[in-house]
Amino acid sequence: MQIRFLNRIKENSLFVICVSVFYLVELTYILTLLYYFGYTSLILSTILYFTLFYFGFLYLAFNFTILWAAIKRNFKLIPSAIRRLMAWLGTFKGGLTLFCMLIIAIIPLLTQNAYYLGSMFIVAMIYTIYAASWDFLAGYTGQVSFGQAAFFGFAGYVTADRILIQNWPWLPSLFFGALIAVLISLIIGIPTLRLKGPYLALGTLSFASILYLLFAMPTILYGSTGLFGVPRLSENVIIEYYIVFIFVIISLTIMKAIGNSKLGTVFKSIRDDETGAEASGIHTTRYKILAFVISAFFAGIAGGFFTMRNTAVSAQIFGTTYSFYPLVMVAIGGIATISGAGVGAFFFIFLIEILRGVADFQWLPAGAADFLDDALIFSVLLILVIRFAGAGVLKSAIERLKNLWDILLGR
Amino acid sequence: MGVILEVKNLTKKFGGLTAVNDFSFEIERGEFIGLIGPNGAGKTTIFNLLTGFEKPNAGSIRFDGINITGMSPYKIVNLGIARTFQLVRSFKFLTILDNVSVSCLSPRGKKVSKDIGTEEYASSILTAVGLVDKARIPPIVLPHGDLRKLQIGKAVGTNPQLLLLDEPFSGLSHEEQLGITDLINKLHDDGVTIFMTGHVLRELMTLVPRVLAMHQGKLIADGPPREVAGHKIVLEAYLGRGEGFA
Ligand SMILES: Nc1ncnc2c1ncn2[C@@H]1O[C@H](COP(=O)(O)OP(=O)(O)OP(=O)(O)O)[C@@H](O)[C@H]1O
Ligand SMILES: [Mg+2]
Repeated sequence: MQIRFLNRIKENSLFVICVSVFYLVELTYILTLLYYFGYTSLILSTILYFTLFYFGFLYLAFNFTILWAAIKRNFKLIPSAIRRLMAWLGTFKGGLTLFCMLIIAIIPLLTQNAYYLGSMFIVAMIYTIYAASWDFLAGYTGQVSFGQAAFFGFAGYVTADRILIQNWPWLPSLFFGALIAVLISLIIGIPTLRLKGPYLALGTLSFASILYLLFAMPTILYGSTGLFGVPRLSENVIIEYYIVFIFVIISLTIMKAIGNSKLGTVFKSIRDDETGAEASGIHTTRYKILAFVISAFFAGIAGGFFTMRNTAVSAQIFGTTYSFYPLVMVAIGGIATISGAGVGAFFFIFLIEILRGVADFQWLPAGAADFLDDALIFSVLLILVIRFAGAGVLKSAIERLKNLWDILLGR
Repeated sequence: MGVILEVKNLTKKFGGLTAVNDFSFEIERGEFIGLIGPNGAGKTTIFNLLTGFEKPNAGSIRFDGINITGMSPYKIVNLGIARTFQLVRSFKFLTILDNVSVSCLSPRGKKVSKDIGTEEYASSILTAVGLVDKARIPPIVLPHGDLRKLQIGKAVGTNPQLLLLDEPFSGLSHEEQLGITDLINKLHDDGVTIFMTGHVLRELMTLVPRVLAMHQGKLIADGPPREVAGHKIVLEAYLGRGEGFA
């Protein structure tokens, strides 16, 4: 069996090499065109692609089909992790995820506008990690944090401090910030997570408020102005975009993988029935603290990126607004999904942008326009989501899309 | 054989109410023993005390030679006492298999499951309790009888030496009761010590060779079911006479 498979691979290896080289050349060619001539050339290059390589393409596609058939026939020989990944990509959810990832991956090819890329996409991606960190804790373990900004903000400060004052490179600064967030989470988590009930929510909320007051003080820590002049990840917004993108994928994959692992099963058992989990011999406090620590770590990563994106950080970051952002985003995208955090974050950012564009608030009395900012939008959103879509706004839409998909495939 | 559980002068008060009053008894390893008493007698409270979900006001509990009085529930489970609850409870968004897997992932469950694999261990338990064909569905769609089986499966996953079953028959049809009876007998044959409650004596009568009867927190009789059933105080307790209330 094994040998037959290898033979098949050998038979087909020439094709694979041909195809790979072919596609690489093609891709470089298209990217170069895009880079120099922008969006319009996408159409041009597509036309060229099909006219010049049409027959070659057909030929290679034919061989690819043979290779694919060979792989499929020997499906059992592929390592199980890859097999599961392939099977998952074949499902609707996997395909949709892959599709969304591809879209986000090619955005910088379509627009190089620093505002769109930086202030919208990168910020939305940072919020994705942040909201996912909250979802990890609340969705999997059932522990609600009302002060997630404590980790987000503290890590933001620490990262800025390392980069600006200690002259560290950004990567170690980022991880150092996240580790400090983990330490803080232990300080809050160990006393509050021993108890059942809303103590974690209260503990985190008050801790974030204390941090707000501390960091807003004029003389101690960094003073009321905070830290500014933090360098961005890169001068080039596209490079910054891809660094954050990679971190989003890694962070979400880790959180999702934990959720699907045995550890995740234990977390979810605490969410569903804490007393029952104890009766099953689970040291619930320890697991709750572990989940809290992981959540704080990713909130810290997000906070570090956020500071670098804004090139500054001030006490505002500990405000309740930042603590409630992840709640709204997760409410929109659906709880206990992790990837829903991304849906919520993008939805939120784009909605704010659209509303800002549509209404210029000129007709409002002076000062009222400031009030009509993110805070109001997010409160209204939260109310609407809670009222109309407990499982997240887009869940029903996605389900409908999936039904359509099933019909198209004749299932 | 030897004593597996030794309870001395156990007392638990809820405000002015003494739910368990100076209660002492012993259980031998491998025994199969029942605990009866009318509603509100304090049976569930005794189980809560034995498993650490309530802390006693006085008295001591020794399990397998270790003083477990006031220990936290998960520690007691990992020493080898598992329990089921009178009102069924489950992890409602996990599959039936994962419901059992959680117990298999406890430190004590892991000792067994790490050699054969968590999933395999959990499946073998589901086979034993008769739920293996429902492994992949969530418990919300299970009928009550299956939920009772799941309770036992979850407890068995921690690999207990002593299994406390709180009203395992309540709300079940006669056929379902027979199924559970078989299951409990099988567990007992495998060497698990079993201690179960019931408030109707008849259910337990045929099953256990020894029964404790309690009333208003106090132990009133201890012996073979036939003897206990004939006991004057037990009759009074069940019929509600004796103390002057109708
Ligand atoms: N947490 C509590 N707080 C206050 N009182 C309680 C508590 N738990 C039990 N009780 C009281 O203690 C007494 C014994 O209750 P318990 O549940 O142990 O009885 P039981 O023998 O299990 O009854 P049943 O047959 O109804 O299950 C009852 O009067 C009950 O109201
Ligand atoms: Mg009871």
